[in-house]
Amino acid sequence: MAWQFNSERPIYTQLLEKILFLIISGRYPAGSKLPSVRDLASEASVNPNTMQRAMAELERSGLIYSQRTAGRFVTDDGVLIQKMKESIAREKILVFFQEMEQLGYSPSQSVSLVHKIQDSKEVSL
Amino acid sequence: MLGKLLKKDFTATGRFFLPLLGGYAIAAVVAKLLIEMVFRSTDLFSYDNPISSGLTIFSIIYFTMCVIYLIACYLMTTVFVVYDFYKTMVSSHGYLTHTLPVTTGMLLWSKVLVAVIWSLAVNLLIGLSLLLLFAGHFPESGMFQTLRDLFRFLDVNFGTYIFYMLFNMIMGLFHTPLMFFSCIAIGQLWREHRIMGAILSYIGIHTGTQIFGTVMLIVTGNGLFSSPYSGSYHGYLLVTTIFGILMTVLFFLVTWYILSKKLNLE
Amino acid sequence: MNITLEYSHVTKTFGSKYALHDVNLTIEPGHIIGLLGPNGSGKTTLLKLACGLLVPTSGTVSVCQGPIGPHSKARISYLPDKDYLSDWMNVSRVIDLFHDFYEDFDRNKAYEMLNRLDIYPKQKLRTLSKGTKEKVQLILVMSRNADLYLLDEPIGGVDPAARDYILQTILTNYNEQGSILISTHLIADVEQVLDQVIFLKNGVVTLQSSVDEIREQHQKSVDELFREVFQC
Repeated sequence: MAWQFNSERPIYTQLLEKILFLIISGRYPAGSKLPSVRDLASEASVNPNTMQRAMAELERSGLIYSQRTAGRFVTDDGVLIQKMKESIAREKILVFFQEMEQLGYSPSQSVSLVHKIQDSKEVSL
Repeated sequence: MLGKLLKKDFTATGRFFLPLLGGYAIAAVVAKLLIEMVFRSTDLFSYDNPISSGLTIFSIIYFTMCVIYLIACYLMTTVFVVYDFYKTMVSSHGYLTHTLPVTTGMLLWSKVLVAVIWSLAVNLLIGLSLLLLFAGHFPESGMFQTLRDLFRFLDVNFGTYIFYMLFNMIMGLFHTPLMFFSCIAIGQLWREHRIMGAILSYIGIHTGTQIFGTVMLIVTGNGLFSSPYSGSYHGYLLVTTIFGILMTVLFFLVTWYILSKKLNLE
Repeated sequence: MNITLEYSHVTKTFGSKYALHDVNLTIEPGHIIGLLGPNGSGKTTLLKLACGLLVPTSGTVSVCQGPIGPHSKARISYLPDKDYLSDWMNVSRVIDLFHDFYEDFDRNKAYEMLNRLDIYPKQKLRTLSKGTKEKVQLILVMSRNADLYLLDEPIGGVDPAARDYILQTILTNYNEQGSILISTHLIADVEQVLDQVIFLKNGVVTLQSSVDEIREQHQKSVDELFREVFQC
């Protein structure tokens, strides 16, 4: 299935985010081998050069590394992955707070609202 | 590569020619059987016997149809060759033909050779069928003597005439398809109505050739109103043969030039 | 530096009408390039010039730094926007034909793709639907290991499902050292497989840029930019 992209931002940055997400969500666990650029590109239905660029960017961040002949691997550094995960979570929460504030909820009100909804959801489950 | 092109062109044209020639061969064999039956029946029975007269009427109809078939063979040979050329060289199939990794010269040679070989096959088959038909019934009189007398009258040596005839026949095998090819190629120079362009160039070339032939006949003293003794039929043969050779070469060059330097597929 | 395809001051006229006007383009190996423009902007003419199906009125076209001829034709795999195969042939005969003439043709690859699409090699082309015939042509073209693929409207008249299949086929089968030039006016569908685009407007090249450069500069997709540039 082709991956979907929005139209405002470069495709490679969007690819980068998706791969990052696949790594922190555990689809490509720490130390595992990544598919080749060509395979990833055809899975996503994107240009191999664009995929290559996203991979190079990820390599620079240290999240993946390449071995000359064996291909590319996810870093063995679980702490780094965890840190990435937390920073993404943090960003998402900040966005959430921002949007809630526009609706008139302060951060603490938002948090208690989250708890309330979670409790009622558990009851209904 | 020429071999591969020939293979491609023979398979493409073979699906027309094989049934045509196969059908003719069968028709010829049936004709031979029929003619032998007619001879036998008139030997066995009298001429006014219903069996032999019925057979005679039937065979007359049959032979008339055979003659039509024979003429159709000649016509269809040209039609098939021209159709194949048009289809593969300048219509949408030209998109494949002209993107094959071969030179235009090779494409053209393949078309010419295929045309020559098929019409040679048609001629041979028709010749053989006539031989088959007359086998056992050749007249023993001096047919050749009569012909020789005619040529002496025309001031041509019999051998020379045979030579010219054979040469022109072989040249004709190249000349006819190439004339049509060049007309189609010239038609491609038009921006629109390219078939019309091809037809017009055919009319032009055909008329030109006819006029030249007539002029030569008169110039060499073989004109309608000149005395038969004054002319040189040999001279006429020589001039028209050279003209034919030149035209054949010219047709090839024109076709080649247009298809390689001026190709503009629609 | 290697150059796969180069147009230098190429002009093509049909009668008094300009189809292309002073086109200068250079295409390097290893790219998938979108040739984008509305109908009648000269996309097909541009591709046909590289194939030798048209001759330029002035200027020169060269493929792998050589002239157009048997050598260039051996390196280009071209998908026209026309039905260019003989109807009376069956699929396997067409495959044999390609195998005969193109050294870089991979017969096994072609049969694999046919198999995946449930196209029967013994079927005559005449009996195939228009869409299937187009797929057969694409299979033939993509089974070659060419230096340059020229695809004229490969997703033109097909449904969205077939569109995905076609793009997938192109991506998985092309020779990565080669380049692909795809002409289309359906940009949104192909945008993500491209890395460069060329805008053609009334026979003039108005833009050659990378897709992500356009997105970075304009904060909009190539499709949106195209709509803006070619507004009626």
